[in-house]
Amino acid sequence: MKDFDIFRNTDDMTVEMIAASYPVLSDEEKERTFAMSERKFNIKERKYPQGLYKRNR
Amino acid sequence: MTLSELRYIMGRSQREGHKALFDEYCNYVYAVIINVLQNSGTREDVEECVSDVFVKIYRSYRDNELREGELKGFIGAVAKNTAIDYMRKLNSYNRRNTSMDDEDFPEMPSDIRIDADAEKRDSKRLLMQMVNSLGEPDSTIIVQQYFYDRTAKEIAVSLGMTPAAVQKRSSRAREKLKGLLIKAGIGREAI
Repeated sequence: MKDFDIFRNTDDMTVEMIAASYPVLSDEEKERTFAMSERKFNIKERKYPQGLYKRNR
Repeated sequence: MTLSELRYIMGRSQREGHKALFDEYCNYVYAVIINVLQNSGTREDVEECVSDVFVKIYRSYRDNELREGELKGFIGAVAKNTAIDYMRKLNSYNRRNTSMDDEDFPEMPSDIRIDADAEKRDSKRLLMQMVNSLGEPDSTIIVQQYFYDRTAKEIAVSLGMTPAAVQKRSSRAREKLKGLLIKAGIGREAI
């Protein structure tokens, strides 16, 4: 538990404001996470082609 | 970004479309997930969760499930629900490996409690006004340290400062913020 836990359970609108005013991701983190999403997307596309995946997202 | 703009980019290249969507919303999705997984997941868990959210969104686009004017709301809802699923899995794993009496055991969040408590929401907005009033770089340091759970070293790199300078500014900003909260009559329990 953090000693200064002021942001715990922040509401949706405040989260949106934080994301817009204080974006945190570095270029490296963005690249890594985007690459991960593309890799997972391509695996899912091969495993569950369109129409066959609804329950397997 | 509108859905029409996304369709235009997707028409040129699927990967380009995914990248445009990711660049536009990655910080938002990351913030939504961090807010749910605070005290539950590692940085790797958060990144895994972010990537899963975008996979769901890409596939929803492919299946024509996205609606004009509802893109951001849809993405926010997918991010929140995916993060809650992750947290349940992580807490289930932690429960098998941690005593329930452990003080560090994370609380299960309650959406109903979060969404229903208008007074708490107002306190959070007031808190953000106070954080903003600290000015730069202190406001960024406080948000990165206490919302995004970044280390002094990471914050220092992002702001072009030394870790020692970040720690010093953080300590002063924290004291100032505590003073502002007390002055506004906001106790720890209210936020």
